[in-house]
Amino acid sequence: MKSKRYENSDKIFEIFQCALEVDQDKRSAFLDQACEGDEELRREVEVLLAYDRKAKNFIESPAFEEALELIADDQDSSSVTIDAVGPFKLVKKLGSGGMGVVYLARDSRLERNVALKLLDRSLIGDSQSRSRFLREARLASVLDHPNICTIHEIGEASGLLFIAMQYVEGETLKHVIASRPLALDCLLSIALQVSNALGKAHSQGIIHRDIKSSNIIITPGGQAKVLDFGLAKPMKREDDESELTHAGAVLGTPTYMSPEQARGEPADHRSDIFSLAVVIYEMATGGTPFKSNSRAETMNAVINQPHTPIAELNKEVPAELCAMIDKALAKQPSDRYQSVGEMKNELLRVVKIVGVEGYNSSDPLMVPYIPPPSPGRWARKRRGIARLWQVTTLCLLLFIVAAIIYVIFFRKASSLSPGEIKSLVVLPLENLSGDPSQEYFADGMTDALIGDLAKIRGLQVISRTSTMHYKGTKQPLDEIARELKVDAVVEGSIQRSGDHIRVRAQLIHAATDRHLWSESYERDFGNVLALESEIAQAVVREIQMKITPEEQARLTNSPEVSRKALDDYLQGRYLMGSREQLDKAIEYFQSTLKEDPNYAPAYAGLASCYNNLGSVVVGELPPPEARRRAEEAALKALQLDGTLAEAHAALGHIYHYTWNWGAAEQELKRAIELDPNSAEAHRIYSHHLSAKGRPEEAIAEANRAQELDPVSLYMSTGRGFILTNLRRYDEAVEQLRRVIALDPNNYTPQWFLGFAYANSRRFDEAIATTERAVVLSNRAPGALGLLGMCYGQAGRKAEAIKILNELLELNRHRYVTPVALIYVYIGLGAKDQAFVWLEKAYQERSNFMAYLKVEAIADPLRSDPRFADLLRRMGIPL
Amino acid sequence: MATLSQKDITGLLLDWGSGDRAALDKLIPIVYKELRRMAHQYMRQERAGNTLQTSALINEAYIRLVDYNRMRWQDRAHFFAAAAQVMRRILVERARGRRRLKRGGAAQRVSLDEASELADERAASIIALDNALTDLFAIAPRKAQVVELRYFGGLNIDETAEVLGISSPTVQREWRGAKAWLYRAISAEIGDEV
Repeated sequence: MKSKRYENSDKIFEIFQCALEVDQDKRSAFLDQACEGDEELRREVEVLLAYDRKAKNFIESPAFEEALELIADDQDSSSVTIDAVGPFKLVKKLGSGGMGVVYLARDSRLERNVALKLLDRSLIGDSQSRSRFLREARLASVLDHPNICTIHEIGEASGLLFIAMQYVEGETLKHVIASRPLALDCLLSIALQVSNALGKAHSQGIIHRDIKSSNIIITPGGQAKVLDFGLAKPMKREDDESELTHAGAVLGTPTYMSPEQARGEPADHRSDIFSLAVVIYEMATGGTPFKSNSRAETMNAVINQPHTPIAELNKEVPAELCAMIDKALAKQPSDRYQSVGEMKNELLRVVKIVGVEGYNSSDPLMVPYIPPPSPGRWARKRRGIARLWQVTTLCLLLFIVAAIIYVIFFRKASSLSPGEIKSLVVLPLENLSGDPSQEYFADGMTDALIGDLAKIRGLQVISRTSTMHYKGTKQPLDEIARELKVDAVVEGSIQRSGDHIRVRAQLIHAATDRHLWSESYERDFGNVLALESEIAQAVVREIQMKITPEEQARLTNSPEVSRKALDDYLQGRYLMGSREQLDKAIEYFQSTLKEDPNYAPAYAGLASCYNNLGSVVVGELPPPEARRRAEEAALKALQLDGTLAEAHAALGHIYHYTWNWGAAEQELKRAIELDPNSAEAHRIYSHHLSAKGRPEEAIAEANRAQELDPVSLYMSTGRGFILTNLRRYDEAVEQLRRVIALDPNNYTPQWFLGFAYANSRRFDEAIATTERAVVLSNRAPGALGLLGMCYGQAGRKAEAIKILNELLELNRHRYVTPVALIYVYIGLGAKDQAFVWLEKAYQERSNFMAYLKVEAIADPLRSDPRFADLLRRMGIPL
Repeated sequence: MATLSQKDITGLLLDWGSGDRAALDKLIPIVYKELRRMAHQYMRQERAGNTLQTSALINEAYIRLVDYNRMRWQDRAHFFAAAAQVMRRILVERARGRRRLKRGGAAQRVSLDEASELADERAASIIALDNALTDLFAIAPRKAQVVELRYFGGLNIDETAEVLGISSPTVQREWRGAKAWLYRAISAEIGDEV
């Protein structure tokens, strides 16, 4: 019946339409004729005509207004129409909480799953608190700890604030507890893991403020991950009591709140200690200590009433643990443990007394993961002699490096190779240990492998930042190779079970998909060291003729470094990629050096950071001060290891900006010679060449930097800068816009894009972009100056002058780069003033000066004799 | 920023116009956001005594969102269609949400007050209309478009004619036929076939 109606619909509608034109009394006759005896057809038309009479008012008043009203008070717009936020494609809703909705989402750029939290706008409020929120959350996103759920990204897209977090499979602790006491060993494991997480956060000045059992995820393997660091804080402003009444945690459940929080008073790290104790109490008894029928009563209980002693609820809890919880639940912060460390020591004491399986007392950092009874069953024994494991693996890796080199260089010589391999990528080694905490370690090992291979001249190795984008990818290898433009791919895995260690690695020729070499190593801990070093040496001997003795020496000479130092170093490396986090990066490098004062790469990292702090874009330090510190660190690094490419590059960078033109080029070339695959060295060299007015070479170097690190936004931004310098504005704009699309909240590319627009006299776009840079940089003077210049050149003098005044006022309180003022004065056409500040920039050797010869912005000043004088004094080679 | 997204939206509209279905999916959140912004504005103005002109509202959104120089008149039609689709999706999603809520939470809800009973009825009829409209689109796409623009997009006969590039009498005819067809489809679903 239905299908018939569909089949004939055109005809039905046609006859229906005509019948409407015919008078009622003649319709029957009309239908007889029109339907030509097709009874079915006729019936259909008649039904339609009958409904036409009934449908007079049907859908006559539009639903538009109704929908508009729905939209207007739509708080959760995401759940309605949005299926993607920026690069994230929403897969499914995982849950919703006080702060918004959490989705499982797919990051289309990296092809990985993330937990995407979309924030409820009503909680964030005005733009000021929003930017504060973003700042705090970004700060917390620095936290990298096995027990903290990593924050990948925070930003705004499709009009929504989002936080992209590591997607952790597991259940919330609340779910695991399910109102029953947990087994003691499981309880202690989780308590220790959470206290480790809090310890890490507190040491960086980050307080959680919303610790509760539903904020802790327990993986099937028993690992605890704390969620939502840094997210609760901005909800409450300590200095503003009025906001407390309708904000954040006070709105949330008061069950885990500390008394000071419940009273609306400022809460420090000891508030987290209280909340953690509530969670431990819950694990011990199955219920929380303060619970009443209403919020008000619960808050009153938190503030005034003692909790029910644990012994009354669960007799099996050891007295020591009860005492610890009691102390941490003290109403007065000063009566509690004063640090998480103290609390943890107490927990460790309990661990020793009751004896937890898998716990190794010689290394208190190692917490055995004890899976809760339901999901995982037998994954009890884990962890242990991590350090020995590391050494062993390093040796294995050394062997693998040697073997790869052997295959590439030696076998190629004996014409076994199907094609020349001049470039390769080492994909992140997969961690098959079933223990997510070893993830980081597998990454570190990948890094070591890349580092060693990169030192071979004639072999291009994709650097770490680009490599890590492929972590966990399912992309076919030949596709990855194409994306990265490499000849070969190294991939492998590391697995440890008990005393057994297995490393698998293979080298694949991308174009032919041929396995050139593949090996699996299985060893016991006991004899693996001797055996591996023996094989490694043998293979390295084989390829000696193919690599220089210097390379050989560096290859076998991996510096010994402790795990903590390496950990801090890698974090520093990670953070120095972002100009906003240079301070944090410096802290990490310093902490590396505290652990291991002879670790040269950390000094080199420091040198790079200081160099950047003195740049016009960052402008945190006056350049002479920044360079003094940078030079000190670079020289120290070279003193420890004269072959460290990065240190030579940093030194070359300093010389470049201090107009030591010959020495700069020498150092940069040396850096590239030592590590032909250092994207950073090529990037700086391209800057140097562009400053000297050697455009072809400069762009070649910038291209090289980008090839080596294709995913690094730092390199792409650098290339954009070079293109601007070379006055190839269209290409610069295209390049920078691509960077911004990938990372819309980073102000550096916005800054350079504004620059490119301004130089090409596209002022509207320049203003729009630079305004954004100003906001994103929290009104950094350099960005402000650029904006002032754009206003001035666009004829918006009043606004330019307003910025000028802001800068001059700022200059009375803090360091303001003279370049900011040069910009504004150029924009206003005030030549004499511009020269006054150029002279200041000259005196402090501002980064800007190095590019004076080619700088398009300075064109209006070029004909002035004072300009030529500056160039002469700087000794720029003509 | 404004110029950037203007270009993007213009591009999406052009893509959609040339048959790229995926472009609509990208377009909808943007249009949604803009309509939402305007809805707020409208609600404020309404209190000040202004009345709503749907087409003016969508037009304003259109002007704000697109790069005029690159657009042809067909693209404006696409924009209105996108806006109508946004409205449709919103109502339908909300209605479905309400139904789920009702199904899941029925045990706890002891008494339903009059208002929510009304809303439940409304939800059911929106869902039924949405289903019927999808069916109608399969057999008579232009009729379905007319309904979408008129009912969800809030356009009158003349405006719909302009957007679709057909005459007003044609819209009138399509509208009447569609209404009868839809009314019947919905009645059949609810179970009172004549």
